[in-house]
Amino acid sequence: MQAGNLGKIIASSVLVAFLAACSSTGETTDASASTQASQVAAEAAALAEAQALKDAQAQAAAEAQAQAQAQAQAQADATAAQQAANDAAAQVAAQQQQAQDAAQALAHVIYFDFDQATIKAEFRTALNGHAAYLSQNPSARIVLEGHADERGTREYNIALGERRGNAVSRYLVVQGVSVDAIEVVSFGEERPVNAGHDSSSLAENRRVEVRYINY
Amino acid sequence: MRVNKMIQLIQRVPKVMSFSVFLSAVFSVLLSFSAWSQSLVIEITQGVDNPVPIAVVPFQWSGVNALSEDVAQVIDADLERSGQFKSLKRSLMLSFPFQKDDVYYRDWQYLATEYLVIGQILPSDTGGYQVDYQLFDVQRQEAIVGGRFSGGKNDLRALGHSVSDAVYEALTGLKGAFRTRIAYVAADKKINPSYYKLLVADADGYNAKEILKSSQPIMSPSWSRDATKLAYVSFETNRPAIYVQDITTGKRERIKSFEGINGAPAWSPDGGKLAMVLSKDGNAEIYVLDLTSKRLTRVTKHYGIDTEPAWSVDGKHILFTSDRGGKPQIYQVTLDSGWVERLTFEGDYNARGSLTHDGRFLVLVSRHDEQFHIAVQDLQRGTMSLLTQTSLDESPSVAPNGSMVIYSTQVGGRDILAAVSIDGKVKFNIPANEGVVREPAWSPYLN
Repeated sequence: MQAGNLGKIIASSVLVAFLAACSSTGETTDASASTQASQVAAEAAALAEAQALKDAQAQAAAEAQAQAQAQAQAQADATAAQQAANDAAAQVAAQQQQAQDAAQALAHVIYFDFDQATIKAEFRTALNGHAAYLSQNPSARIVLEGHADERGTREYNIALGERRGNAVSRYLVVQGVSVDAIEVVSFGEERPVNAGHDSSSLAENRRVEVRYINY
Repeated sequence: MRVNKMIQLIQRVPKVMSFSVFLSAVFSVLLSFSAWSQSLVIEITQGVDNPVPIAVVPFQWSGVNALSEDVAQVIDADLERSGQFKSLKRSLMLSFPFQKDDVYYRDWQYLATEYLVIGQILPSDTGGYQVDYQLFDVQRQEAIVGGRFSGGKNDLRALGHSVSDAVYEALTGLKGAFRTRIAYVAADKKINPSYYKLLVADADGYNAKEILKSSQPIMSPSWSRDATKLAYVSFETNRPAIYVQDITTGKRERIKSFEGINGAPAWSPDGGKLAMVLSKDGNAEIYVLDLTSKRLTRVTKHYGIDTEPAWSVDGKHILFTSDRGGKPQIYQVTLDSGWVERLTFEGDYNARGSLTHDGRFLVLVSRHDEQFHIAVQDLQRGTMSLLTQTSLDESPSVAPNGSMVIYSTQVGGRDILAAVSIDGKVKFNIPANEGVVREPAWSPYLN
């Protein structure tokens, strides 16, 4: 379309120059009149060319501007979208963190009586909290570490620690936690938290520790 | 006064002992000194009422350089530790014969010694040693037994233990178990980083050697029948797994492990199988792994705890601890038929049973008045008797000749090793220099 316009402009200029040359010379056609006509035509052509270039330049500039504007708009749109996404993620993360904090704030150690694996009523609130978190966060994983006090034989205490871990595991599963989210590992009497030998030290060692390996 | 006496004695037996060895001989209550940091020190706490008086004369050494060990002292300590003998102090000896012709019976009769051990040590062609010994009956004025043992340059103590074994067998009729080893677990939680170690020492606590060190618990060492390997439980991956390790080469193999408990390995009498506890099928049950075919056979099936397997002498039964009756008691399963019978009825906590070499006595942990003691049940008579009066006694392991039981106990809040004779008459403590020591396992006879 650009080339077509330019062609039309040049053609009309040459025609005008030719007509002017004819009228100025009348019926006579001598060399000087012909030369004059050619000069006018050339000037007109040059003029037209310059005009065409100017137009093309102006159009290119307009187009570039439009492009830049579009780009800026797209960028602005993207930034806005990102911001919105970030805000949403932050909200989710904040909620997640809140839930995680709540889970972390729960008691992580469940204590037991000697040679017993019965979960006492006082630990149900904490376990219910863990169960709720684990049910709502399917990717969360815990290890239940079973422990025993130093009394009794070591391998029996390994089995006892596992029995305690299993008791906690069963309780959580009944509350809706997936079995796959829980692993039970018993350390028996091998890893006491309290090195003392009095009854309160021993009571601290008869325990199941709830350890999150993934929140 | 005492110093003068020592100097006098040193002059009398200059070639036999190095000075430090000699010091230890004089202060004979403390029987140990060691080149190893984790060594154990034996303190005899109780002996029989009338131990047999015996004299072990310093062995003559015909080599040039001083010996690193006092072999006669090793023998002295072994015999004393059995609780059945009372050694004559060197300071009271009137002469130091090392050949039969030099023995004047009246000297030893005068000192009320019933038996006399003499000997000499010669360098061997291979750079090691050769120990010749002779045992005499002083009253009857005759030689009872004599012989020769040879070993490498690091085997002097082992050669002494061999002489002890021969003397003990000649005088008691029971094969000696002095040339054996104990495996045990040491731990120190007070230092940083805290550690768990598996160690092997000679039966007298010397030559302690580290087999494994870990930041996580190590448990339940069990000897192979040829005393070259140990099976044990290690939590080094934060999960329990059973390993089998060659104690000489250090090479080890992890037995296929399962989710849950992998514990309490126990080598069968024929050496081809490993009894163990797995909870892969829901709770602690006894299994037997054939080490050649790798076939795993489940032995017990009960929702109660079944653990701590120990083989009968003939390998046809496995003893185990179970709370299937409500409280831990010891049961026995016949492998062919699966028939289970209960063995213990006295008391509300009986666990970790194992049998003496002749199958007659069941050694176990038994709770009485809230305290855990080592007990022995005579399987012929059905009677149980307590061998220890301390509390928190556990992990009893019987010597291969059935004479002594080594176990762990607590003294002053620390775990130490201790030993008691099967009749309860002889006792000694084996405290560690550092940390706590526990779970002793007495090796079979060494080849």
